[in-house]
Amino acid sequence: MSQPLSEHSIAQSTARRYRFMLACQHLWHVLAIVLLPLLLLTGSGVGTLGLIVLVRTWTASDAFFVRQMLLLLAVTLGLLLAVLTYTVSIVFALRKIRAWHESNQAGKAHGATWGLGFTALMVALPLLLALFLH
Amino acid sequence: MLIPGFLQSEKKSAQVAPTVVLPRSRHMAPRQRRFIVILLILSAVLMFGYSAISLYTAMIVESQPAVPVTQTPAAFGLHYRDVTFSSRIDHVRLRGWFIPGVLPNGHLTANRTLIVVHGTGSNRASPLVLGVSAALARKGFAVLAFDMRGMGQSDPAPLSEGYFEQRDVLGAVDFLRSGALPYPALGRPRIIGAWGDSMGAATILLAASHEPAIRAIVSDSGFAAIVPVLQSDHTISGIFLPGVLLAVRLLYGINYAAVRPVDVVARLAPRPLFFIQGTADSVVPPANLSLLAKAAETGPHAHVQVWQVKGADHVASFQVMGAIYIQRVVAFFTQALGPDTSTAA
Repeated sequence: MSQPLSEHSIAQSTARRYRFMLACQHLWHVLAIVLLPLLLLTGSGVGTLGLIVLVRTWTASDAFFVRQMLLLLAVTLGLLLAVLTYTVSIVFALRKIRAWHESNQAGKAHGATWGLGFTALMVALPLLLALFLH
Repeated sequence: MLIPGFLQSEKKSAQVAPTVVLPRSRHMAPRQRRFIVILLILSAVLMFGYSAISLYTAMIVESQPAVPVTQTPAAFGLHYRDVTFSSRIDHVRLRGWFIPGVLPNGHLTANRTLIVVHGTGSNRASPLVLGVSAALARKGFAVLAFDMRGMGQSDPAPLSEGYFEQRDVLGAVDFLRSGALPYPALGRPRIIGAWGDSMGAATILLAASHEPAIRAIVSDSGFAAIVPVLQSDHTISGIFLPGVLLAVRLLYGINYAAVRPVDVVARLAPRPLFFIQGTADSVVPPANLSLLAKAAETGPHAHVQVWQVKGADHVASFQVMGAIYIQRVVAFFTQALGPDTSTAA
C-alpha cells in the first residue's frame, strides 16, 4: 500500500507543475511576440498575392495598360501594407520586450530579443538566397 | 480542499518563480536590443527594397514602348496588303503585311508562304525584317510579316520572350490556312515555312513544336533558353534576376524558365532547320547556335544546317553577308519547301 502523500509533497509537486506551466506560458508569450511580425508579413504577402490573382482574373479581357495600372496599384498597396504591418508588429514586440525587461523578466526579454534577430534573418533569407543563387 | 491548496502553492511558487536576473544581462540588453533593431531595420529595408525594385523592373521590362512602323514593302517596289488576325488561344489582335511572292515571269504567288517574325524591341518594318521579307518575296516566296503582341501596331501585351508570343505565330498559321487572305486569286499557301531573328527565331521554334504545318525554319540568332541569355545580357542586374523572374511570373503569368527552344528542337525533325548566328554576337552568346543544332540533330531523321557568320554581331549576319545571306536562305527554303507549283505562274 502506498503511503498517503504529505501536504508538503503535494504542495511541492503542485509548485513544480505550476512552474512548468508558467515556463510554457512564457515560451508561448515569447513565441507569439517573435512570430507576430513574420506571421503578419506572411499574411500581407499572401493577401497581396491574392489581390494580384484577382486583378489578373478580373482584368483578363481588359486592355494591357488598364491591367498594368491595376497591377501597379495592387502591388503598391501590398508593399505598403507589408511595410506597415511589419513596422507596427516590430515596434509592438520591442515595447513588449522593454516592458519585460523593466519588470525583471530578463529571460523572456532575452529570448524575445534573439527571436527577433531570427525574424530579421528570415526576412532577409530570400535576398540572401538570391545573392548566393544568382 | 485542493483549490485553496493550489492557490496557496501558486502564491508560494509565484514568490519562488520570479526570473533570476543576472546583473550582466541588465548591461547587455540595451546593446543586444540595439543590434537586433539594426538587424531588423536592415533586413526590412533590404527585403522591401529588393521586392520593390524587382516588381518595378518586371513592370518596366514587360511594358516596353512599341517601336512605330515607319516603312512598308512599297519602299522596295513590292505589292502588299495590310492584314489583321488574332493569336491562337488568347486572341490578341495582330497586324501585319501579306506580301505575295514575285515569280521570274512577274506573276504574283502565295504558293510557298513564309511567316517572318521579328525580335524583341523591333517590328516588321525593321531594316533586317523588311529587307529579308522583300528579298524573299522577290525570289518567289510570299511573306506574312507581322508585329508580335506588344510591338509595332499589334495590341499591347507584356513581353514574354516567346512564352506567349508563340501563340502569335500559331495565329499566323491559322490565318494562312483559314483566314481571309488579301489576295484570294492567289489561293491558299501550298506549304508554309518560317524565318525569324532572335526572339522571333526562338518563338518560331517553340510554336513549330505545336504546329506541324510549319515545314521549314530559318533561325537567325535564336537563343537556346532565355534565362541564361538574360543572365549574360546584364540588362537586369544579376542579383535582381531571380526577383524579377518571380515578379514577372506573379504579375503576368510568364514563366521565363519554360522558354527553352533547346528542349523542343529535336521534336521538329524531320523538318529542315537552318541555324544562323554571328560569331561576334554580343546579345545571344554564339554557343547557343551549337546548343540548338546539337539538340536538333538528336531528332529522328534530322535535317539541320548551321552557318556561323564570322565577325557578325547579333542579328547582323544579313547586314554582313548581304546577297550571300539571301542566296543561302532561298536555297534552304527551295530545297525544304520544293519549287513553286502555282497555276498563276
